Amino acid sequence: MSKSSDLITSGLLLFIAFVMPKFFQAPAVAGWIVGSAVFFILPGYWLLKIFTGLKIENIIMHLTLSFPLSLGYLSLASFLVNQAGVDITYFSLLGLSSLPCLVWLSKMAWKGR
Amino acid sequence: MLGTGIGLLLLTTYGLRVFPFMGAHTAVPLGYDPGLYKAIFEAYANQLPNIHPGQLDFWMTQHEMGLFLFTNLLHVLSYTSSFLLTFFFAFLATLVGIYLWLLIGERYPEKKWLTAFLTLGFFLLSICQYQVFWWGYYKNMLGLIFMLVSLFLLHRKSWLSLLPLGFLLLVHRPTALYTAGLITVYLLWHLFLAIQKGMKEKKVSKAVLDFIKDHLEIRVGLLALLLFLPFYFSNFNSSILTLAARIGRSFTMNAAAGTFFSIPEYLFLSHWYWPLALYGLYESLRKKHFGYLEAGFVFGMLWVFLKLYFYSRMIIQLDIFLIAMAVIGIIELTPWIRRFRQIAAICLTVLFILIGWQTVQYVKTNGRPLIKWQEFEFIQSLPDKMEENAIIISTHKHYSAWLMGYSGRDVIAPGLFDLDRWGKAQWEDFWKGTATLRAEMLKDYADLKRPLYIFVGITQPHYFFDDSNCFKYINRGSFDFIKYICNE
Repeated sequence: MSKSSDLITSGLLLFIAFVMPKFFQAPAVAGWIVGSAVFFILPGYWLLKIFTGLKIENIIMHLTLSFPLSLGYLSLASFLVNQAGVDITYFSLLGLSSLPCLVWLSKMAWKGR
Repeated sequence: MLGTGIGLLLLTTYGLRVFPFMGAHTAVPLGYDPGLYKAIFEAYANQLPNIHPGQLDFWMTQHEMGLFLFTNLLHVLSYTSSFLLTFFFAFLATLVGIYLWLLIGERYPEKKWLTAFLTLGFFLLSICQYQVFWWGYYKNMLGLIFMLVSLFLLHRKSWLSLLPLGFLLLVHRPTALYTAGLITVYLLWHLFLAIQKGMKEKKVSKAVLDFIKDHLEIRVGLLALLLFLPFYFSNFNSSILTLAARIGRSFTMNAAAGTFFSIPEYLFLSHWYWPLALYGLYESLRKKHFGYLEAGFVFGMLWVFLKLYFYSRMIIQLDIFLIAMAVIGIIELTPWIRRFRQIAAICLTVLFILIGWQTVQYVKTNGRPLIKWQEFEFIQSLPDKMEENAIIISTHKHYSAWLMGYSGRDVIAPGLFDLDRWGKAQWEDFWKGTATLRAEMLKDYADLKRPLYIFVGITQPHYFFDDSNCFKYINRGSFDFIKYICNE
């Protein structure tokens, strides 16, 4: 996928994950449908992108690796931010999920400086 | 064709694992550990939106926190504990095969589909891997995933491997130890080769420096230890020093084996794999290829056959590398297979049928829960039958975990949890004594000023409480539930 389509897809997923609980007024629905997709895939996907030296052949492999990386990253990050006083809620986890994407954008901006 | 086969293998692997949950009485987890895990999952989840491991029961803090940070996330996403212990756990158990394939696939990039087919086939048929699922070894399963992902990323020389490697330390110490051990064996082998080469060229120090520069494992490993060991500082003595002391002692005296297959049992159940795996190792060494898979196999054999600390449980990791080496063995046989196409096809089919038959027989005999459905249902209904602050006494280790996880009350159990005040001798007296003696002994808990109940299950020796006025039967039948009334 190209960089822009990656960004658009991720942005869209994050947006849907953000509005779903309000729209349905039932976090369970958002959790199961979109939350899982966002939390299980997005952080790992962008972490793999950040480490650009790492060549991953295809999208299936990318997604497969994203799952443990996402959950490993989110588990650790949630613990650390909680020690710093941030509550672990659906929305704070959404913030943590989007962080690797922001890091990637900063990296690109720094490179293109 | 191979793609469809791979899909079917994955579905069958998942199906074999979820099959026991699909009957009339669903959601009874298998094995022994799920009760413990459920209690800890919920203790962590009940603290949300905060995470304070220090405020949990002491016995819970003895478990590495990685898995529970992970299940916390899933709780936020509305996954229930029961789902995590059944269908989601089966999903993770299936994923292990995929990550093993990714790692073996690195060895044969030109034969990815064949490697996938063989890896998933052997993984599906491995009784050992099925048994890990059956026992409900959640941390172990997650540990295997993170071990395989770390090795894959290390093989790709990515610093990203720091994340799964570090998280592995927080998920399952024995698997982290195994990973460290196999990486050490791998590094020592290559260091030996580097020094040998350096001696030939009379530049040993340069060879060693180049070796350190070329091997990312050293830097990533040290950094992972540096970054993640602080998580253990609060209970450094019990989590690190005790483990190190136990490993040290196991070199000179009989070590604790852990609950799993004994070595003869394992060799019997995996005997089809061994000739192929040993041939795979032989071919690798002949071709001077000594990667993580070979190192993991050699390290596992040394650990298990020397019966070092926790060796029975290390069979689980050894089996992963046994499967990998068996796949390599078959792939190395490809020229022979091409030459004698028909005979080879017959041999391989017969091999798979034999292993498959053994696995199906094993699953048919053993693939059922340790607890009867009626007992499980009764334990789940206990919160409605008891006071909020009641305590249940588990009179057999078989039921301790189930009571802790599913009764919603504190549990006194032999040698487990925080409330147990008796040693082995006192428990012996409790089991063998009269009801009058038991009533007398329970005064040890009078200071708690909480109602006490006793659970006696179907599969344990039956105790009688009639010859004392201190006990009142709440349920009497194939299993008993008794209230101690002399502290009211």
